[in-house]
Amino acid sequence: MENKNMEFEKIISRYKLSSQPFDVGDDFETRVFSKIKRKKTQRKVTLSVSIGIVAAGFLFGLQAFLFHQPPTLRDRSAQSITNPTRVESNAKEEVPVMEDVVFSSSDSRASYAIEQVGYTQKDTI
Amino acid sequence: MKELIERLKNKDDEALKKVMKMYKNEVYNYICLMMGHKEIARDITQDTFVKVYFKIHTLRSENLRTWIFKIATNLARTELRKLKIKKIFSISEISDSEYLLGEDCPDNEIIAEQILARLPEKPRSAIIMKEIYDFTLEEIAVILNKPVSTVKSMVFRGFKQIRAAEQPQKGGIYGKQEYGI
Repeated sequence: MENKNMEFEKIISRYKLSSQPFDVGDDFETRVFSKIKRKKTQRKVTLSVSIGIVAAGFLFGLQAFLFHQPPTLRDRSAQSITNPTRVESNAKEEVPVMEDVVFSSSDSRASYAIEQVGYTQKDTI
Repeated sequence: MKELIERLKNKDDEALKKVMKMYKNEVYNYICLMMGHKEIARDITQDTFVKVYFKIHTLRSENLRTWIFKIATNLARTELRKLKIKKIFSISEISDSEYLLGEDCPDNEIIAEQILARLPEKPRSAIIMKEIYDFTLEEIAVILNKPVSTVKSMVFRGFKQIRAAEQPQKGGIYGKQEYGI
């Protein structure tokens, strides 16, 4: 390191702190402040977009939650029809029938009727 | 200095102006030597102070100068990487860096600057910071994020390469390929 060449010493002395060979220019500060301003605006836009995305995500999640609720009372009564409990007595028992049963037919010629049914002991599962 | 840093942390524009006045030319000349291109160096110097403004809250020590040089070095290294990639994928030839000293300089000095510009980036920045900007090895280690021993060997190897490259230059032979720098 001690044998540094004279040319290299010259270039080093030329760049030494006391004599900076290049000047960065008069409008340097103005340019820096305009870059800062631009970056601040960019940050605001990014922040607004992020908030928008988060809000949209929240609304989407809320909607998905409302349409996929856990089983309600109505679902539980429907389940009781498909899996009836054992009937012990001989007497006919009323089986709850859902009121809002909906039928549909493609030719509108078929007719349907709902009547109450009961189980005898034979019928029981 | 502590008060100036506090003012900077409070986003005081006057404080930033003062910091720019203190360090802008120093940083600019350092980046000029690192990049070998005045326009790119000007851009990087501006970006350095923009980063100082936004990242000042991350400054832990009171050594503002070292911290600013660290930002400038990282930005310069990122830019050098981008330029390398551009060079690889570019169909047309990208011109070599313009040499900075100008026509009024003796040939020997221009050659010395070319040799410096062709050093690998880390030894180059270590040598520039140590020899021109009088940073201690410990400060350079902080700036380059390397152990002091690594910085020492970087500077040593850098000078070895400079000495090796200067010999064929004197004889009029271009020593870049021969000496691997």
